[in-house]
Amino acid sequence: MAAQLWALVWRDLWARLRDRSALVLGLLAPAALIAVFSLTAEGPTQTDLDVGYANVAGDAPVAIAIRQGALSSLEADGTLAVTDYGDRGDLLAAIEDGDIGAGIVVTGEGPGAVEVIQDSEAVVSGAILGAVADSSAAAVDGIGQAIGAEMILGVESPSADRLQQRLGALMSDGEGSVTVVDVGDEVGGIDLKTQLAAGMATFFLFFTVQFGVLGLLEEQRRGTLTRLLASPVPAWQILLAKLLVSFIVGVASMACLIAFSAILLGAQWGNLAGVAVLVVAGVLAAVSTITLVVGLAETPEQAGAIQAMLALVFGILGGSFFSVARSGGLASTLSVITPHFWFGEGLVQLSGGQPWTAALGPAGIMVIFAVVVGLPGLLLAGRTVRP
Amino acid sequence: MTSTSTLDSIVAIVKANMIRLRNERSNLFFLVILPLMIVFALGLAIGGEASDSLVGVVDPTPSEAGQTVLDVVDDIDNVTVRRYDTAQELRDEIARRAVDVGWVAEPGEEGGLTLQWYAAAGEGFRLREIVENTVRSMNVDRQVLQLVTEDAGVDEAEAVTALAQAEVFLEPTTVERTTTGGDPENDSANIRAVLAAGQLTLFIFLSSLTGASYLLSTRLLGVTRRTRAAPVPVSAIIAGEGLSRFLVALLQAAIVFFGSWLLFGVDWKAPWAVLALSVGMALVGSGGAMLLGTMARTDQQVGAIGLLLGLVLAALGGSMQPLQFFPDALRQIAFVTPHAWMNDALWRILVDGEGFAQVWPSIVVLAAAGIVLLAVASVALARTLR
Amino acid sequence: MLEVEGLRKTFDDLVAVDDLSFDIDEGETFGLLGPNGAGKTTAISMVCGLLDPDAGSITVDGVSIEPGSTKGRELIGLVPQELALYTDMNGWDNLAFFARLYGLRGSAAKARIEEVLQVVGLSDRARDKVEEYSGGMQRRLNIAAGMLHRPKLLILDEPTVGIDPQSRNAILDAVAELGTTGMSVLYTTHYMEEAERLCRRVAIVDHGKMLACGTRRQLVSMVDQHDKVRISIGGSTDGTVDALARHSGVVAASLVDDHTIECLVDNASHLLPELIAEVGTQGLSVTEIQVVEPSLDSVFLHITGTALRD
Repeated sequence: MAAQLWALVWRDLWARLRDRSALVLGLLAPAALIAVFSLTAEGPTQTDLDVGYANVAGDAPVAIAIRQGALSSLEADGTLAVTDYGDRGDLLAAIEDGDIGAGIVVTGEGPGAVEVIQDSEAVVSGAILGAVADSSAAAVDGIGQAIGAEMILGVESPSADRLQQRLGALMSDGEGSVTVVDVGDEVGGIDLKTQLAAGMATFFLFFTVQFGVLGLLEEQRRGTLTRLLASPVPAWQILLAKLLVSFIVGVASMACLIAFSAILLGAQWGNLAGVAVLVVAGVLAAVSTITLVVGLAETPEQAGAIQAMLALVFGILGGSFFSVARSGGLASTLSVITPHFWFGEGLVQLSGGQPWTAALGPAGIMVIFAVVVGLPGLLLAGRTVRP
Repeated sequence: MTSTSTLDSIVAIVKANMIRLRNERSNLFFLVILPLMIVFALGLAIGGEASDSLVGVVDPTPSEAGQTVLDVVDDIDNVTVRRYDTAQELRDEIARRAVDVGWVAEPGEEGGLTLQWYAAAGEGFRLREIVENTVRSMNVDRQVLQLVTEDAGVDEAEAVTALAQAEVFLEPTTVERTTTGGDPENDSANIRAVLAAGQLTLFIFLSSLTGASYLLSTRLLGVTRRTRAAPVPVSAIIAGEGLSRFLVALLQAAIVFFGSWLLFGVDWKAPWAVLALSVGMALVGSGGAMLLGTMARTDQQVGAIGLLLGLVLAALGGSMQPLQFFPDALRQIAFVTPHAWMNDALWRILVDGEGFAQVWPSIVVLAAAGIVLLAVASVALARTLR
Repeated sequence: MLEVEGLRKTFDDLVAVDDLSFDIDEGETFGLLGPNGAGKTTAISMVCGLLDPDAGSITVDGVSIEPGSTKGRELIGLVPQELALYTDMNGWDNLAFFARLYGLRGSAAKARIEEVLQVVGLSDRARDKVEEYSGGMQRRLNIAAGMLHRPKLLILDEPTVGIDPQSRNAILDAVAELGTTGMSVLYTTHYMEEAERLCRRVAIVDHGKMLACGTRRQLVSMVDQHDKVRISIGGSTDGTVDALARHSGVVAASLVDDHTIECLVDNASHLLPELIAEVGTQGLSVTEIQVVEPSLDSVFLHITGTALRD
């Protein structure tokens, strides 16, 4: 009995192996897209933000605080590349020419002592310079205030330089009522490259599993199904064989893509056993979908078209191409109906070195999806093998 | 018997292709619903908030200090702040990259505040600098108070009084902000148009290639042989099939162009230049389709290769994310694809405000590539016909 | 109408058609009979100008057929062996497409399409997609597409392959009907009985060579076969057998059972009245008479040494 079943499975798998279109859809296309995406995921080379500085106020304390303080430290750590200009006009011209995104002009005393000029598109440069100008102005004003207060309190010849030094030290120590503490390392999380690779792999999975169950309709049309049904092989084994072929092809393509992206592109999938659980659950969900589609469709072309539509809608909604969760709202609520979302969620749970059991929740939801969609699918698709 | 003019034969072939296109109901989905659905979804996802830096904030006991930091960050144009109830929620959203950075505000003693800073891998470095500098300004008062109490050897109350007295005589340094250039409000509209433009490029090419199956099935069904037995010159068959592919590509271009304009309000800025680029891309697509339909042996091959080339070239050519977000080296390589030529020109039209006068070289490149492909495909098709 | 002279075509080492010559008269239905792979389709392709012959000439109604030139194409209607139709279009749209390729347009095309649909009995299914047709209906539409432009020569390449007997009969009837309209028909088949039923003359081809050509009777006489006449007599047969055996033109006569005699004769149709008269002179009456002419099957077997391969 088992021998007959495996004979059927093996014949189909062998046919798929020789059929290059299966290799293209199951491996080549997703692998190529994963490769492209993992290259683009690096983003543009993070260059320094180009900003400008112009001082027309001589040795004004705020000029020194800005240029020698905050600006030069941001320049040193590679956040900013600062170009010095002779006056406000030069700096403005540079912004308009697109040489720099934003700039600080120190004009001296009085209102508008410091002016932050930004191009409307250079929001980040503008915001950084704005914050730099604010903190420098606050420091300069603070020192002035401190000198005044110390004179009132009778301190002899308070030194602006010394006060500034000590304030700088306090500032860099983060001394004060508001402190910022980095705890980012604890979060873990999935990296963009892996997220995109997983999205592409699951997107194409819904095409790949067609090679198998869809064969039922093809064999029905070719007439070979009748011959199989006339043979001593029980009808349920014929259906099971097709399901197994879809399952094996799906798992194989996922495994290849995961290995490819991990070894060659540095994607980080997390605990292997956990990933295996997710793959099995995801492939089950995909196989159940194509089974339902085959059960509903009349011809292989029709089934192929419906499955392609489902694959596209699920892929878009489930975040295979862009993160739906980021957009919030209805789309991100709807995305939870797709196995794609839960596969990604499983990887999120596994990220940061979590054990394989972390994947069980999302995997369980995919299995529930498989059961809910697959049972009616089996009943409907079963009709094709009923004599 | 009436003689057949070449033009008549071409019309007949084109007409048959259009009838077949119309008869296949799934085309309504693949040519109309799918591209417009993607443009719509992208508009929702990226034209909305998703392209912004997303900042998550957990602030269970709102304070003035917390609000100050929040206001500074929220004021930045491309930052969207989302609030969460618990630190766990924020961490989950960051882990799944639904949020880039965020903080949990925890009140400390004496009205102090600790911001626990979270960031997704590789994100939010610059935002951190902004918050850092903002916090510095906020802490200056406290730090100055500390210096004065140390120097004068007085208690805090005395120092506070002295500082208040000194402040009266001080003229505070003012920081003025000036913004030049265009209206920043247009940015998200521009981005939405750029993304719709990417789909315009993607679908002209993809739909052309998958349409190659019509050319292939004409041959497989034996209609090609029968057509050759009719008094129809080979050149008419080639022209008819080529024109059919080109019309399908143009139809797809029109659907995305007008659909995103009329349904989703995408502003194409220089519509004639965009249309000219679309025609160039349609030439490339129809040449590719003719070649694929001539070379392929089975429908599965057309489907698989069409999908492979259609998606991979689109991804590499900046249809799925703008070329401007590519690493520099990859951006150079991208220009081996026709997509990159079109997407780059579209970016310049939509974002940089260029027009026909500036992007015409791209149109010429696309048209030239399309004509070369069509010529090669015609030769290949002619060989199968003899 | 069609003159084929010294046609030859080789593919690499294979000689597909070897020095093939035949001609078809106006209004004649001519059969090209041979097993699969005999070179029939290759020959037809050359006749239609789809394939360049290595040697030989083809003229239709005095017009020379050359590949690369569309001259004379409108004189020929081809019904290919494969279903050369767009299955995703309806019957009408398919016919309209081919009509236009042959220069038929507007109301003329419309009238002719209706007429042809009538002939093949598909008028009420014209607006259905071809993929929804039964196999027989598809074949009929296939033929309709070939005769749309009123060709002088209609070429049918195995039009009955793989269809049910009923549709096959309908197609054979339709082809027989065409034969009466003055249209010349070139009919290829590997079914002996089709050639016998439809064609005035038949050419037998195998391995690219024409082995014999002529009317059925000519072919039969070539292989020296005799007609078989079976006569049932109401009465004693004793003396009758010898009487018949002595009759001129009868080769042999023998008793099958008490009332039935079987005679081998040279030409049954000529001899039949004489044989009946002969039985009458014996004072007996003929209750039943059956003539079995030798079939092309036996001719084919004789000429090629093998039975007709399927």
